[in-house]
Amino acid sequence: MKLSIYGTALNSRLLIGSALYPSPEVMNKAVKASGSEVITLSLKRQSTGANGGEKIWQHIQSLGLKLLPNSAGCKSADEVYTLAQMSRELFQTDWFKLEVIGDDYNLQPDPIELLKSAEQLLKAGFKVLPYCTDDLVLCQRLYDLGCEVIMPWASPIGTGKGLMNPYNLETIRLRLPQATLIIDAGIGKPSDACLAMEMGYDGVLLNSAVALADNPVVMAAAFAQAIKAGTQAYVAGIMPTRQTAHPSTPTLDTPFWHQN
Amino acid sequence: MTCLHKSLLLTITINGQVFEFNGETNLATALVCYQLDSTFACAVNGVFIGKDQYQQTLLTSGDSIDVLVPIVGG
Repeated sequence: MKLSIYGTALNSRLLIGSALYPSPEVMNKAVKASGSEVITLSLKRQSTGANGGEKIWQHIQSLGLKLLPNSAGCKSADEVYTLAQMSRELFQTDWFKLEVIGDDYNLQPDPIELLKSAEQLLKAGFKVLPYCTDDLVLCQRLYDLGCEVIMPWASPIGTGKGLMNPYNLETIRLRLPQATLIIDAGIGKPSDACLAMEMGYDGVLLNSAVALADNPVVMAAAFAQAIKAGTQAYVAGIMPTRQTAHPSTPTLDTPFWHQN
Repeated sequence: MTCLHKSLLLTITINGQVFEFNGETNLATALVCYQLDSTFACAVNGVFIGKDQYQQTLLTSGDSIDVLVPIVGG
């Protein structure tokens, strides 16, 4: 089964960021090694006469992936609304990774502005992928508004701490079975991504874990494999945990049984 | 930075940089003066302005223009 984002079927369940790589060449190779079909990017002010934006734009375009612009740095629904419209015109996509930051220290999303913004963007025809905390009620409200994709964090952006609250994430998965759930932010190593997929998550969005690895290309491949392994494990059905030991080897006709 | 046109002085901010224009100035003209060599999108006073509206959007003194370009992101 493929990952579905607002009706678009994708073979890869890994969405990848375009920032923090040591060079554009390494980014190219890492993105290819990841197998990702979606790449995130953003908009920023640029000084007069400079053309860095055009180089980056051409470079990302050359990868031929689906684009997922974000609203990184925005702190209010009004800011997001303007940025989203600019992104839609420039990148020619109505997909939008909604970020509204409520705290500068841990880049935690502002749930109040997030809901307001999601509603505003959905009304304006955007396909909204909100980055949010692992709060069940917030995720439920976002889904009820019409967000088909919800992206709770594993832990704060760029920390690499992995799944801080597995119980919360499992609960969200259990209670929102119809939503496309993608873990966004905080993933540090492939086993984190694998664990999220074993819980039944539909995908993982990450950037730092690959870009900041000693070898981003090999790490991207490792994440691709971990995500496939986790997906297969979920589909296969993981055995229930038990309180007591159960022998794997049959005890019937065990040799030397009760001889001592 | 000054970009002279007619006789009325307008002070406009583009990406935080102050520009002065003489005379009635639309957004398209102001953007030409900014000399941006990149794909961009634009907002005036925090409101998105589509490319098809640049010519019709007349600027007034004190307007603040944001010109944004693609950047990497996570």
